Order: sequence, then C-alpha cells, then structure tokens
Amino acid sequence: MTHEDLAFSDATTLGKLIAAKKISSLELTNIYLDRLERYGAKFGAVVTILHDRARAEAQAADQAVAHGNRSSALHGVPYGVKDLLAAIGGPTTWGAAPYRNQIFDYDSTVVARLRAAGAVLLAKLSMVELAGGFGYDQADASLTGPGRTPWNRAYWSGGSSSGPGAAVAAGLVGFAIGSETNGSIMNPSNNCGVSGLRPTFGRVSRYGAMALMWTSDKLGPMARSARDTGLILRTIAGADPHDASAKSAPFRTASARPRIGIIAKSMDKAQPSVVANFKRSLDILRDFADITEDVPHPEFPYGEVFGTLLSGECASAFRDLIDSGRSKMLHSPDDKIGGHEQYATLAVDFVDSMRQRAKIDKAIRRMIAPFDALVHPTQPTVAYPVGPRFSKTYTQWPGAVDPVTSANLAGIPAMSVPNGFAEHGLPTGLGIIANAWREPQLVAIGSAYQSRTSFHTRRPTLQQ
Amino acid sequence: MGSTRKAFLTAAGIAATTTVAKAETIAKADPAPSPAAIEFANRMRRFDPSLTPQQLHDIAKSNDDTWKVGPKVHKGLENGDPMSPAFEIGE
Repeated sequence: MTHEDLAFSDATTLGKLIAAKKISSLELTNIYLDRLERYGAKFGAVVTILHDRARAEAQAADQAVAHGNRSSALHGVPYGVKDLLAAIGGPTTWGAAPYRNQIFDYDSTVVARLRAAGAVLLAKLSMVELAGGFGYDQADASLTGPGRTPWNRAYWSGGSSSGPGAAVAAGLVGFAIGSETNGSIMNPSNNCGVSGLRPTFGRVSRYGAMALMWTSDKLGPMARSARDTGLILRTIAGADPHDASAKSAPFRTASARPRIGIIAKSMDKAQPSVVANFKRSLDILRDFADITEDVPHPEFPYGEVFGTLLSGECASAFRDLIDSGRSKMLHSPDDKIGGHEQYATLAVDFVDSMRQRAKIDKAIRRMIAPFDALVHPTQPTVAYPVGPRFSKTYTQWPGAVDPVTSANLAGIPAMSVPNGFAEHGLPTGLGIIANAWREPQLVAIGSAYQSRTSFHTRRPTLQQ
Repeated sequence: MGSTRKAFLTAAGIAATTTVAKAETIAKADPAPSPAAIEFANRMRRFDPSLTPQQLHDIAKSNDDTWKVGPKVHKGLENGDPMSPAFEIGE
C-alpha cells in the first residue's frame, strides 16, 4: 500500500494492519503528521499538532503490540479531536480568540478512553468559535479562519466540527471526534463527504468538553466508514462519574431487514441535485430494507424552541465571557454581540420551551416507533461558499422540514453517510435517524448502504 | 445565525437554512427596534462600554425578535404539561 492508500484507509483497516504488523503505529503516525503539516492549514482544519504526544503514544502502542498486548481494534490508530476537548499536550482553544492560550492539565474522558484503547492522539482540530453558540453567519467564524472542504476549497467544510470533517476527508487523521448540539456533526459530515454518527444524548461523557448547551451537547465519531463510527462509539461510550448524564446503556442488536421510513416533505425546497442523489439512495436502501414513504414530521416551532433553550444555556455557559466584555474578541461580527442578544431571553419563554420540548420528545418518538430508522437528505443543499453570509446563500432551497433540529431536541441518534456528488464537485449526504440508544441500527444501515456504494471511498484531489 | 439572525433562532452547528429564512422574514416585517428593545440593548454597555451604535441597534432588533417568540413556544401548552425534567433519555 502507498502512503496515500494508508492515509485514506478506514480506522478498522488501519487497526488490522497494525495488529498484523504490516505497518507500525509510529510509521502511520509519521505519515499523518506529515499530511497534517502539509494540508492542515490549507483546509483550515488544524489548531495544534501534538507531535511529541503522538509519537510517544505511537511508540507505546508499538511496544504493546510487540509484547502481544493489543488494547482494542483501534490500537495504534492515529486520530484527531475537535478543539473543544481537553487534552494534555497543547492548548484547548474552543476555536475562539479569548481562549487561545487555555491549557487543561487533564484529558477529557473521551480522549482518556481512546488512550486506554491504544489510539494515538495526533492533533486538536479546528472548529467554529464556541461551537457556533453565539450565532455566526459566515465560514470564517473561527480562530483558525474558514474551514474549507477538501472537495473544493472555495466551499465551507461545515460547522461546527469543521476540522474533524475536513481532516477525515483529506486523509489527515485515521478518524476524528466531533461534537453536536444541533447539526455540528451532521453538517460537516455532509459537506466533507464523511461518515458521522451523532450518539444518543447521554451515550458519551462530556467531561472535559466545552459546554455550550448541557441538555443537547453530544460527542461522536466522524470517520471514513459507517463501520468505523460503530467501533469508535463503543470505545468512547459509557457511564462516567464525572458526567451525571452519561449512561452505560446497552447496544441493541440491529434488525436484519430494517423498516425505514422516508420523512415526508424532506425533499421539498431542497436543491434538485440533493433530491436526485437522495432518490438514488432510496433505490439502494430498497435492496435491503422495507421502505415506507411520506412519514409525517410533526409540526412544532422547532427553531424557536431550540433557539430559546440554546440562548439561555449558552449565555449561562459563557456568562463570564459576556460580562467581562471579552466576547468582542470573537472573530465573527455576529458572535461579538450574540451573547448580549441572548441576555434578552425571557425566563417564561425558556420554561415554555422546555415544556414544548417534552411534547416534541414524545411526538418524535411516536413518529419513529413503527420503524427501525427514518431517512432524509442530511442538508437541503451542498456546502455554502466561503465568503458570503449563509443567510444570503441558497435562499431558494431552505428545506421544508428540519429533522436535524427535531431529533436533537429529542436527544436521539443520527448518522450521515455520503450519497453522491453535486454542484461544484461537492458531496451530499444521506441522513438516518433512529430511536434512542439504537446506534447499532444506524451503523448497520450505513454499512449496508456503503457495501453497495463507493462514495465513502472516493478521495479528493488535495493539490487544488 | 446571520446578520438578521436573532438569538432565539440561533443554533450551534448549522441548525437549518430554514431558521435563517424565518429570521429574514421577521426582520423585514419589523425593521425598527422598539424603545424597550433599545433601552435593554443600551444596558449591555455595562458589560462592554465599547459597543458601537450599530452594534446596539443590531442587539435591539434582536431583542424585539426574541420577545416575539412567546406566543409560538407557548402555543398548545396546557396547565398540566411538565417541563422536561433532568432530560433523561428513556428507552
């Protein structure tokens, strides 16, 4: 295999190659460190490369293999994390200038679990400042500048897990950990053509992660195959004494022939190329699943409920930043004042939104109950261009329903897998939603889809 | 999310272009901030005295939109409807 072939292999394959001693973890780590140096800045994907830590962990992994002590299927596999996860060895910037020099002297639970599994931390990856909590509207809302999708540098890699998306797509890491409060794994997975899994709320500990919205923050894998996401999730999941929300819930067996519903109106007001790719995906799903069309998406004021809850929780999380006036140090003009705007959130609206959320939770679970999963185009459009305001872009394709927000409000898991390419050579995604704790069903459907397609194995040309 | 985005419509990640579109509609319908919204915006100078008149104007517009959300998030609620408690995800 060439270095290029190795760099673009999925984590499952890399783990097997290391186990078989066909390549050492250190060799692989050096390949990725070189690629991070060469391409990381080009795609606005990297904040800090952890050379010393990576090489030390890789050498330890190789020594363990030599002694027959392989810790897991991810043993020796190099990876990166969104720069909102605390890790020893470098700053944790939260993608934002006010926290440029922030240092934590401990590893977040996710990083600690991956370390225990023998994985090798390569780098802290870029993100939208404060994970977008203050309401950015442009791709450059980040300490490291605009994230760019490796498929076309003129277009955004997505947010807020911009770096994990771009780094996985460009073969700069074996896999990555992103986070999602509302779309931050699904969107960059769509824009970068990678496989992303947003777990059930509570599946993965947030200890050591930046808090944005305690009742919706989730950490999850972004990788080059659906099967990888399942493997990574099992490694990082489980109860944690440092995070009361984290549970050790069982991973239920997936149905052999799943019942899949298509969310009604999910193709309405979407870009025609996105619709065409989605329809082709449905033809493939019919090969291994029973499909039901037009599953109604219940009507609720999702945007208003989510926005109200986010405003209250985000303003609380960043109260020190707002009160000190340091939020003006943020890059985006919208973010400089976003915290001040959130202070206008009324307590009565917050409480009503929490009450609406309880109703939304029930309604969404009722919608999914007859099915193993529901599907929709991950996003109604391809990636936004870098430069113009998002609110001025693709205004004719706003999407008719918003299953990303409704599912996040209900705390249920979702996956996005690449399902084709469209305008400007940009990827599109197939969104899959399952009921709480049913991530194995998502992985099974994503894997079955990828066993019949090759979109996830395509490589962008990095010399553009 | 956006020059016309309002705090109540913001979302981490890219919530949805739909929410941006809604914010546009709301902003166009009522471009002038109310006196109460302006007053509340001016109070933010307590935290950041360097806020510019344009920033204060934008905050005031956002305040008005934030305060319009009430009827939408209250609609359909009945006296017995609970809050999501600690937001435990059940089976």
